[in-house]
Amino acid sequence: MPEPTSKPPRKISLEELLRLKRHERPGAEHWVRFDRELNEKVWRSLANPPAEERTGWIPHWLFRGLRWMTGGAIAAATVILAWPSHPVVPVAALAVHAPAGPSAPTVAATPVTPAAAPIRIASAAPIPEDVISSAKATFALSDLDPVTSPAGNNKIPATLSFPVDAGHERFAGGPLDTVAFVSRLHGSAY
Amino acid sequence: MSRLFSNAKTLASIQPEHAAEAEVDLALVRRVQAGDVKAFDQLITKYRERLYAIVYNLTSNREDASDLAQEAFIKAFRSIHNFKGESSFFTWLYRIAVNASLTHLKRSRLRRFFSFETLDEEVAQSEVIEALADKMHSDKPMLIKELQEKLNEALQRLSPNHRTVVVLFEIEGLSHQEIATVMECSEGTVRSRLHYAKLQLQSFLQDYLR
Repeated sequence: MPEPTSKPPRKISLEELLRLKRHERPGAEHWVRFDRELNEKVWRSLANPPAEERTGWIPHWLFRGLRWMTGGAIAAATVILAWPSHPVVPVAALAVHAPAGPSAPTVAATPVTPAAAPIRIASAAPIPEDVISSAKATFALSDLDPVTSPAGNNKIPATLSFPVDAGHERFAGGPLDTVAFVSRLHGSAY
Repeated sequence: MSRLFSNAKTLASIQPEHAAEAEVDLALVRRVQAGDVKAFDQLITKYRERLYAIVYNLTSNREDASDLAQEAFIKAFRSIHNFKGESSFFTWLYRIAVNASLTHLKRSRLRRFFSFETLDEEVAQSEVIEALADKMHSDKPMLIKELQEKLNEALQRLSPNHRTVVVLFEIEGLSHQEIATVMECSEGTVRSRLHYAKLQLQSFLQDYLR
């Protein structure tokens, strides 16, 4: 019986391969440096303990809680201070301009630029004295059907009761309901 | 009495070959807790290589491994008064190191690079390298270098939790129960992670295993 000329290759297992990683070891000089660095770090950390350890008698969980509460209080104060003191009215398609009534035709000639973003009524246009006295404000709606508006004007002038605050200088209501506003316009002015 | 009972219970839950070691460690820990800081130096000298190896195999980066192992020792020293002896000291220490490494891996997952440790000369004489050099007809030093890269790459392709189980079981030789204590999960989870991780590693390293 002839002897086999070569042995079949030995099968290597995954465990054997992984155990080779045990041979990845640093030399002796590494441990000298490691000990020196560790010693330095230990002394440094003893000299400057973490904030939680500097609280003395305050328990760590309470100290952490206080830190969170302080952060929360600062955030809340920032939000309150930054919040607008009077309501912001979204008037993307609604522009405020001159009063209606007797002067309405001249108003119609005035170009109206719709606001691109929510604006404050007070900063958009101060309400004229005669309107303030009767607690009425005049508005015009843009982008309406020009056929139904007078003299080819595509803005609708109208006089409508509107809530005005005690100082009579600014709109005092919440966000404008444009649908209700238009239906009221149709019912009263047209 | 209750402390003795608790210690006996703890020692019963770890591997028999680690039980004697755990008792010696506990005595050292009690000395540190009593104010003998020098006793902690003994614990550092005893565990620094194993701790470094665990962190190195988790990160595949020498510099990170040094920093993280040192950080783990400092954390352990700072909180040694909290160590009640409910687990063995080394599983407690390993848990600190593993948690620090996993946090580090999570933070630096987008900017990671490898720096490999030197392989000692014994590896060239190992049976596995001889067999592989024969099978692949390649030069031993080149084969060793290539294999080191492939092994580290394969380990880094595993998720951190799967990698930790493989490192602790296959490289560090911990039992399933000890790994469960280190990772704060069930033994079943350890077994299932190990099984899945090995399947993945087998497919990554199939060129060497065929």
